[in-house]
Amino acid sequence: MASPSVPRRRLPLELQVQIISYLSVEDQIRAAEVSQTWCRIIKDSQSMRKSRYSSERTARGIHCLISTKSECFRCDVIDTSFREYYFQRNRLRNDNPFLDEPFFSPTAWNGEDPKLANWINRMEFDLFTSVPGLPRLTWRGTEYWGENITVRKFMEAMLKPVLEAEGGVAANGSLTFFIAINTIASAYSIDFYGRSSGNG
Amino acid sequence: MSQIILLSSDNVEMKVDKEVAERSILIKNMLEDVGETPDQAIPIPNVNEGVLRKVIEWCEHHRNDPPPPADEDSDSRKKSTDIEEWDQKFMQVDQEMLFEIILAANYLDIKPLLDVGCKTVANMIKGKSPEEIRKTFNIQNDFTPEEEDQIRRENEWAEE
Repeated sequence: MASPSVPRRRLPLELQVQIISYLSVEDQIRAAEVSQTWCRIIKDSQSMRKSRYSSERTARGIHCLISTKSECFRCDVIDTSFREYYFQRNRLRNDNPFLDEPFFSPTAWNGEDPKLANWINRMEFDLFTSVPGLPRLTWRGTEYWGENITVRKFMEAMLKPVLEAEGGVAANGSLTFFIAINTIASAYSIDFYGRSSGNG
Repeated sequence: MSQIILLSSDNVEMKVDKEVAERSILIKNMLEDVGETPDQAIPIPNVNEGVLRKVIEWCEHHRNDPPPPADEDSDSRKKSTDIEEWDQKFMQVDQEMLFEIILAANYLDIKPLLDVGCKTVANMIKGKSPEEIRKTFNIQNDFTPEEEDQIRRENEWAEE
């Protein structure tokens, strides 16, 4: 028996698009896994793409996967090479479009918002890790990665020194992002939490 | 106050104030083309009586609203899923009716009502899993089973 709440009529695509446009970034991530059409809508919509870059003062121009507060975005590393990405405890598809979007808002570089480029290049990023012997790494703006780095490549860049320092031990661990607000410029603290390697 | 008659798809006539009916841009344009208040019923072929009554109820309540801002700035409406209290109550209908209202608002070109309807649905989606969203919209899952299966398996693993 069909559930009475399931509508007989379907909304046309244009209205689905409008509804999707109201979704928060968090809901966009889930909605991108509904169907390939929804995935494409969310991926390609100009205004939605813009909404995925933080407008908050401290994280302006940073992709929301990473700038959303309180440790939402996580990467698990399994056997050094395998990555599992999580957002708010939802595992992302490995082909989730969000992962391959630019880490910095493209409006900073395409002339739309030149002030933003300035702002980003004054940002400080710190990598804190619990890995013994790995010093705290700090860099500014785009100096390490260039302007066009994607979220996924950013994660890889973060993991590299950690994996190198930890050798085989870091083969099983997770990388968690959260924001630490600095009074001068925004700073990102990136903590690496080693996880018990006994998950096999 | 001049009144006009609307004819629903199931042939029910409804008398409404012209001003109220003109919340619908479709009807407004139609009346402007005709030039004078018609004494014959205006057929609304896509909307049945129940839905049309609901839509008219909304138009009555919002008859004196100022026109929506002309420039549709996508940034300003971003994330603004706030709905005023009366509209929230108005939208407390079953999903079938909610979709019918949205379709009617789209057809009749009543943009503010369409926006409220779409926001209501967007709020319903909040926090829902992809599978629940698929059910809501009657959407086929067109991702390959292997991928789905893999994701489920990995989720189970993650929940341990």
